[in-house]
Amino acid sequence: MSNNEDVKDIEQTVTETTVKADNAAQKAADKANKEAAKAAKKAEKEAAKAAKKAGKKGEDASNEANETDNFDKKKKKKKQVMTVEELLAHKDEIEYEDEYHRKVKIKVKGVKSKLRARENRYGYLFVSPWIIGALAFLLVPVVISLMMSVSLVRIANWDFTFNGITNFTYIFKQELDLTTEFVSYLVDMVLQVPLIVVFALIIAMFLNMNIRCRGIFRAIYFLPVIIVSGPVMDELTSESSRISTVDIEFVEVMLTKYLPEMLATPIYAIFENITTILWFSGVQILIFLAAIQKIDKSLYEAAKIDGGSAWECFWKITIPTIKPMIMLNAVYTLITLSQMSDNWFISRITSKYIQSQANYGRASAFAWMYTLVVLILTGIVLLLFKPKTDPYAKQVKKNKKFEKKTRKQIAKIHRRTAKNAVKFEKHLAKVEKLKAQGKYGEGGLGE
Amino acid sequence: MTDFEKKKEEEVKASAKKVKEPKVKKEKIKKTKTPMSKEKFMKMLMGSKDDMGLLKKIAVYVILISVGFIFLYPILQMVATSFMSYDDLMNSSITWIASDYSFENYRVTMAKMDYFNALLDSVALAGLSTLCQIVVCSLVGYGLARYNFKGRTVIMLIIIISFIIPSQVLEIPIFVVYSQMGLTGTLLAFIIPALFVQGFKAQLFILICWSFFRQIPQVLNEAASIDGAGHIKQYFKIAIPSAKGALVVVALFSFVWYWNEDYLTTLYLYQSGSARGEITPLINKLQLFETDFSSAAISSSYGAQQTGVTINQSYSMCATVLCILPLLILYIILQKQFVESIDRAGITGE
Repeated sequence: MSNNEDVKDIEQTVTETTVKADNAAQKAADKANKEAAKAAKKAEKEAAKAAKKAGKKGEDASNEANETDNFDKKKKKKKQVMTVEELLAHKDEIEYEDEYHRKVKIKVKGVKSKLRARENRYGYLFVSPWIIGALAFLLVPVVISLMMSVSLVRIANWDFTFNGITNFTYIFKQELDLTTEFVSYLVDMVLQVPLIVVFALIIAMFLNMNIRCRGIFRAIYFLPVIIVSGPVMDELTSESSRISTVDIEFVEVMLTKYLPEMLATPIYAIFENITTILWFSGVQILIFLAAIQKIDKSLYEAAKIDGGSAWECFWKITIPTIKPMIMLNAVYTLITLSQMSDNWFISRITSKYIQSQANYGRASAFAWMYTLVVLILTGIVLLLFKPKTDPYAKQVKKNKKFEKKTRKQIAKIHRRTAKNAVKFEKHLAKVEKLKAQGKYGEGGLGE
Repeated sequence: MTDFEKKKEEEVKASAKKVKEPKVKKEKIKKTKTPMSKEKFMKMLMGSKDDMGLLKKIAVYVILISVGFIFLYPILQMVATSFMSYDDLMNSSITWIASDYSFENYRVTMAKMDYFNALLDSVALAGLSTLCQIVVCSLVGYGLARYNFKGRTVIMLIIIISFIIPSQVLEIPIFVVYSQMGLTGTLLAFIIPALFVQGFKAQLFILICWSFFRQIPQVLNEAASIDGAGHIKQYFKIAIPSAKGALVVVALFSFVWYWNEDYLTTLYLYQSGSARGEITPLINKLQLFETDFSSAAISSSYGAQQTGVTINQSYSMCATVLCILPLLILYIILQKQFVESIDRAGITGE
């Protein structure tokens, strides 16, 4: 299948380049007053070279050709049948001196893109609700919110008076708990996000095993996705609640004995709220499970044949393959935890600034600062999981650059030779003329 | 998938039989001393490379069951507590089983919560918004998956970035605009953004739909277009039926998240400062349960000498159970399709 396409491609390019060569020959012949047969030969040689190169590139192009559908192929065939006159008629679009195969490709692509574009325009139809929504509910609010954060807002008559960074300084001055809450938020994130992600991964591995009652276990582990919400969690974790997980006094004693208090308190808090923390891992388990199931089974079989144990398989195959999913889960966990309504910042923004003060300037200033913090944390997570640049990919990139450079040089040389050929022919013609006049050998070449 | 696993199991069994057969012969020879060779026993316990050993299996089950218990514990405890009377609560020896089971607690809580009105509000809010979300997110996801138009990658990028931005930033201006337009306190405040793909976590749903629709072979669409189906028809006849799993996931998640959303409902519908809105979803009832309860108790005690029902743990647990009960029922109904659809294609795209 692909071979056929290759051949077609090559044929096509060859015909077109020969046409070009003819063209060039004509040009050269005109310029040399139809006496420069050599030039024509040269041009033909060039054409042959070009054809060779085109043949090589044809292979590359075939990959792209694979993607084009039947309809486009038909179109291509039509093009192949084109007569020389027709091609010449298109000549203004095919530049002679440029790259050999490339313009042909561009040509074909041009036809294709017209067809595709007409069909793909329907994509806008399908996406149009999102575009309207994004303008109305994303872009405009962001702009208004930014404006609000730096101004004194009187909402009744929609009046924004610019007041610089007063809103921001107000929050720093008035929110006395800001630093302590911020620190506890950071510590919570640092401890909880990895815990949830690792736990979700372990559970996903277990659920992926070949065990009985898998359906029931899955149903249980996905259940928290349904239930978790701010008020429900409040009810469960409130001080009057009888619900605690395990008798953990022992843990508390151990922690306070062996760890400094800075660390002991949050770790103890984790043990205390182990259930509620684990409850947040429902979606993450889902994502991991889906990712693990998509790993190619033959990888594990190959590893087994080579003597790899299950443990090694986990570290060498599973983890690297689902690394992007780990990143996704870390970001997802971070954002969900940050946007829970029982988060101190969120509840503060809502209850104090929006509802009791109705000061939207301060509220949006606070919200923007919080956004910045979350974005920075997200950025840190992304940086931690940044994929190492593959040396192979690097080499490929380098080679591509080099190829481009050489191609440019070749084109330059090619152009120069063509020019020189014309010059040389002119000169030859001159010499012939001189010879005919009998003046050759008297210093006519010296110029 | 499942066929493959079955095959593999069969293979494993067959190989195990083959391994066993010669050993049985050996046993027969030295039958008198050991009924089971030590080697075989160890193998049964520790497992070979292909098969998990008994010990490992037991360990896995123990871990799964115990963690599953941790998962279920609060729910069980919640239900257990909700049935307890005041005396049972005070009695420390009673942890799980109440002294007598009656629905008295539930009756009181339902009356205090104005349960059925709130339930109706919640269903209307979550149901209508979810309907909009399903329709619109699948449309957008299909558009992004099927057509290769200009600016597609940019749109994808914006969708992903907008997921990271905390919604609080955007909600203040939207809230202000709504309150200017008089939309606060009505369900329109939720339905309009959902209709324009800016509903609650719509970005995630778009990505789920996108990853499902991307798996539909393009050839199907071409065949349909040769047979004369338009683009809209292709969407309804090819894309939707083959992505039912995705739609179930989106529906369940969307419904649940709208149901559990208390921040936005507080903001748009239910202003604690101002007069009470007409629509109050269950989740907000739960949030304000304690204050509502005590204020109701005070007002009633002013009126007449009633038996003062004071708030206690069982009442608030009752309220919580009542709040999540519809979701639990929904989950039990949809559970099979939900888990299966995740199995089949995965909700994560790549």
